[in-house]
Amino acid sequence: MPALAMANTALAVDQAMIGISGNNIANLDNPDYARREASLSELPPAVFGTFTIGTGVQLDRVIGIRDNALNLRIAAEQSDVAGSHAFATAMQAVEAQFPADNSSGIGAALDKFWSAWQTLSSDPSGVPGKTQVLSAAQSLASAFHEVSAGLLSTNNSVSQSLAASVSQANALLSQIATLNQSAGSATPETLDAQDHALSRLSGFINISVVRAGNTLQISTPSGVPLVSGTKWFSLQTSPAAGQQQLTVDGSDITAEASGGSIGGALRVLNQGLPGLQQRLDTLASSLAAAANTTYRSSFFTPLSGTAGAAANIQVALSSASQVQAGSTILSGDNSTALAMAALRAQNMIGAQTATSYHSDTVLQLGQQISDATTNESAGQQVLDHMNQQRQAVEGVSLDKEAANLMQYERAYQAAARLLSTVDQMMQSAIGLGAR
Amino acid sequence: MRADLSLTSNLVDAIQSAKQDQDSAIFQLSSGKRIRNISDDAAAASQLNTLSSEQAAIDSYVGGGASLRSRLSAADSALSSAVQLATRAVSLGVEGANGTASPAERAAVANDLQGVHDQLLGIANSQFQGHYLFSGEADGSAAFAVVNGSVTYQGSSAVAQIDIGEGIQMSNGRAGSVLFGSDGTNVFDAISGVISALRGGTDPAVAPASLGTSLDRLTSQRVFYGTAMDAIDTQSAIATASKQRIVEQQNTLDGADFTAAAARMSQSELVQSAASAAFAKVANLSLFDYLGTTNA
Repeated sequence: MPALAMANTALAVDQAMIGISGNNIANLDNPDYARREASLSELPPAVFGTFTIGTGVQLDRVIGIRDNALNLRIAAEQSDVAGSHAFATAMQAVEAQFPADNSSGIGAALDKFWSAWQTLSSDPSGVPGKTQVLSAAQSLASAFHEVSAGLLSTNNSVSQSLAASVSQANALLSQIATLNQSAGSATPETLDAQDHALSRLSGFINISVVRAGNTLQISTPSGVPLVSGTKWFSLQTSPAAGQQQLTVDGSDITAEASGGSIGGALRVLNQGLPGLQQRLDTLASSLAAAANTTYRSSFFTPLSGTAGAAANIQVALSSASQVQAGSTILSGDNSTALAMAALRAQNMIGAQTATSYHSDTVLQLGQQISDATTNESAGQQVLDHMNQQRQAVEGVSLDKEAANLMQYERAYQAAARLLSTVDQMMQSAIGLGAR
Repeated sequence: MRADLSLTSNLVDAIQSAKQDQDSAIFQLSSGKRIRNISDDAAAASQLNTLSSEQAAIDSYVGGGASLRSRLSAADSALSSAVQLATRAVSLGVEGANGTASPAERAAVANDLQGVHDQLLGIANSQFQGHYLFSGEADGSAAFAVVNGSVTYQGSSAVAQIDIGEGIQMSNGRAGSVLFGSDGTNVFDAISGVISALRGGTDPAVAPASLGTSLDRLTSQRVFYGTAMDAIDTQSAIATASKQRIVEQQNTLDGADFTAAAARMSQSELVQSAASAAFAKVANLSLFDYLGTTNA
């Protein structure tokens, strides 16, 4: 009896639809979940001579509603935002050592150093003046040490987070390769997992994605493969010439890894921190050299080269009585103190004084951070907008699910009525036979 | 369309950004400053760094000028007494040279002159804060001492310079040999010459002339001290003006705009409460709620 079977399948399909809707509602807050819909089709009709009669409905498959192109654009934007975020956060840790009002740090220590010499020039044989010069010089050296140590500790923590990001990215690459194995028979769950992995991966590094059917091919922007079919290639970091290198299968991809937390960390380790360190070293070594020349002997312990100058600058004198204010033994000779104080206005690094060079360092650091934060917040706005678009496509709407539930309930009721109608008809037919 | 959820996340964003706005407004209102981190305004922060260094430089020039001024002032008042003594020596010399004076009177004048000589020597060896004022750079020892019966200069001809302004240096005095005269022709030699003439009974007529020369030298060299103190006062006035300018610039660069900050503060409060109220409404905005109430 086709009518009875038809009612049966209709009931089953309606139940399944309610199940799908229920699943949608249950996953309302699951960010990786794409709204699912049932794909229905008519059952093969029964043929009665020259005409056919429908035999009901069947559930073909469940589809996740997704916009793959939009997801890829979101992934790219995520890389950009995460890269800027990682760079800005790391450099902000350094920024605190350069107070905007110059109340502490290297700039303030420089000012105090020059002023101490100036004070000594007023009373060149006075012990207070000499003590002040020595302690200002020692504070200056330790200001350099502190900032250097701060850079080093930022370097260490960023290196650690780089290593963590790389291993997480590798785990995701392997996961995507595994998902590619079942691409031929991909379920909505597989595709959700793919999207999830892709979205997380783009937070670690900027990638180029090609989707062939349900298989994801992932490579660097220039085409160095990361996932090819079911094979994946592990990212590796290695120090090379004071820089961190990112390689995959032997190819150096450091330059193109600009986004994600890996790209951001590489920029901090290879550009941000070394650039700042180099400026500090230049300042420290130029300062020590100029001071020693003017002092006519070692005021600062002579430095071997520029590299490491900021971390190693040391005052050569151990007691205030060793501070010489003049070039003769005369107690009123203040010529050296005057000359040292005059270094304040002397061009030490190219056409720049120590102070103007330091102000430029502040400018460059501040600019780098503000560029990164501006880029991050602009990217975040674009990302928010695209995420809304994505929600509009993939997201679960409670209103729609509520309406669907009512519809499926009615359909179920109708199918049940069909069943009872057929049942009554059959009872009538059986009753006919009994009479 | 998942309108309800994106609405809530929009509201959460709105509340968060209102909180950030409020945070920065509170910083501005409480500190009076606009820039918290150098990345807030890198160009301004860099200028602030330069300005504060300029300020430190000016402060140290002013400090140097002030301590120099008290040294010059001490020297000037010592020299004022020296001029008085030299003037007295000249008049005593004239008195002794008077042809009618008796030997006893000449001896008395000579004794007076000896007193003037000794006082003058004391003044030439004046100290200020442990330093001899007229020894030049050799200010650790007395400027003049009696060597083989005559007063000779022990100090240095070099005189220390002090920075009193940007690129402006001032000597911290005059060497004793410049003020009181070189060995052999200094003011002490002149007085001693008159004394020995008076005591020896010779006519000291030429001696007062050398006394007059010494007095003129002292008077004209002393002018330096007044001029130098004026110069320091001028530099100090310039420094005050420069610091005023720096403070104004700092204010322009870093001063909080209180009106704007207060406005942003109340605006962010408004946004926060509006968003919170909207949140409460949106939480009940679902077809399910209506179905629930109609079914019940």
